[in-house]
Amino acid sequence: MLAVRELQKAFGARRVLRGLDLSVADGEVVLLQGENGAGKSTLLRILATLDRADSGEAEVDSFALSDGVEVRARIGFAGHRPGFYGELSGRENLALWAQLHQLPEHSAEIDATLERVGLKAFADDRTGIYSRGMLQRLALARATLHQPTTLLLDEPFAALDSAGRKLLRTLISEWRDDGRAVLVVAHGSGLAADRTLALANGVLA
Amino acid sequence: MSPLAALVRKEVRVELRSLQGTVAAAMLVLALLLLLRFTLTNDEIARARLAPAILWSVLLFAGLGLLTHTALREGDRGTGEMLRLAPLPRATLFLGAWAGNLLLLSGLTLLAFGFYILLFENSFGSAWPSALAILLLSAVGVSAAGTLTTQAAAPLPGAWMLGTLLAIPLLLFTVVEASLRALQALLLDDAGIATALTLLLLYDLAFLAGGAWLSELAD
Repeated sequence: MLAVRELQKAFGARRVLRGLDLSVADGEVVLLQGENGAGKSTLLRILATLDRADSGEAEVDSFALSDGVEVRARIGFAGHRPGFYGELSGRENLALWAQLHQLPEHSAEIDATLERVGLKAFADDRTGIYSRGMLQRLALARATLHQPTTLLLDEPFAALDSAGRKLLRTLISEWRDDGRAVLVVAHGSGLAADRTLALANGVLA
Repeated sequence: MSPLAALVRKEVRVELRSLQGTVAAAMLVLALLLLLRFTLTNDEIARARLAPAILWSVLLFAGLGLLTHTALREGDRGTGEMLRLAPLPRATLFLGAWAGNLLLLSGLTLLAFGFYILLFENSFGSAWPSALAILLLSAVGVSAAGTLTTQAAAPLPGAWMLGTLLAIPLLLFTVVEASLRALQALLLDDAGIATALTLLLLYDLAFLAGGAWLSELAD
């Protein structure tokens, strides 16, 4: 579950978030839209503890964002940049992620996740030769490998082909059925969300 | 495997597979040593006295280039951000990067020392293993301060980043000075070596503990 109250963030004189309130319940998919520069990515980065808000509160499963270790254990994040080591294979990148999350016996889980996102045949190839769409699929695999309760997806449909977009819609539906809270930033995705919100002038319209 | 061990293995594995930083740093070591070999005095005694300075000039430039490369690589690819999403204290991320950098820097130190022996006289005589040990001990502090500074500098825009990186030798003068004193004492068979080594160890610990603490503070 995700709860945000009175969140504010400014970059210099530019106020991006102006007292934003938002909640995403377990088993709910919320689609967040807004013009470029509206602050959608900033919001997700704050919730992922990558950036810090100027004021306001936010909680993930009742853990305040200041409790970074607990929050990060509960969120799955896929942002604009895939963030993989090109010298390592897809499997090795995921294994590193599993080790950082201290997941025991993760080999079978990694294989299953790679198969689910359609990358099993490329699992041992170095990610340096992956296409942008393949990296996006791998990023989705990484975002869910540690079984997070809350998913934060920033433009996850970008670079995916039509099969990939269909797969992602199915995955999001499955995550909702698993009782996870899913916050998606996307445009024209064809995603059937439970709620669609628009961010404008730093608040939800 | 613990997260710390996983971070160290990743650091070494990525560098060994690409060799981007190590090959460039090794070439810089060789180029600087050759430059110094052909421009310094032919007086053997004078050159022997300059041995610590020669080694440190080379290691500082090449080593910091290597550390900067590893930090910038994390920033450019967004992998540093991925690491920050892991449910780990920031100090663990710092220590993982430090340990990986220490291994790479130790390899570079071995290489530089080998080139030095080949291109110059072995001024340390039979005490060369002790000289090498002093340099490796110094690498602990250099990699701690270097890791912290390069990680802080990587997201900064051009001039600020360069300014921050160029400040590293100023930050490290304590470690370098203690190391130089220890090497000079070794050359002159001076009793002051114990004091210099104690100082070096203390500086190493201070930079390591300070780096871990500042990483947590920056979260």
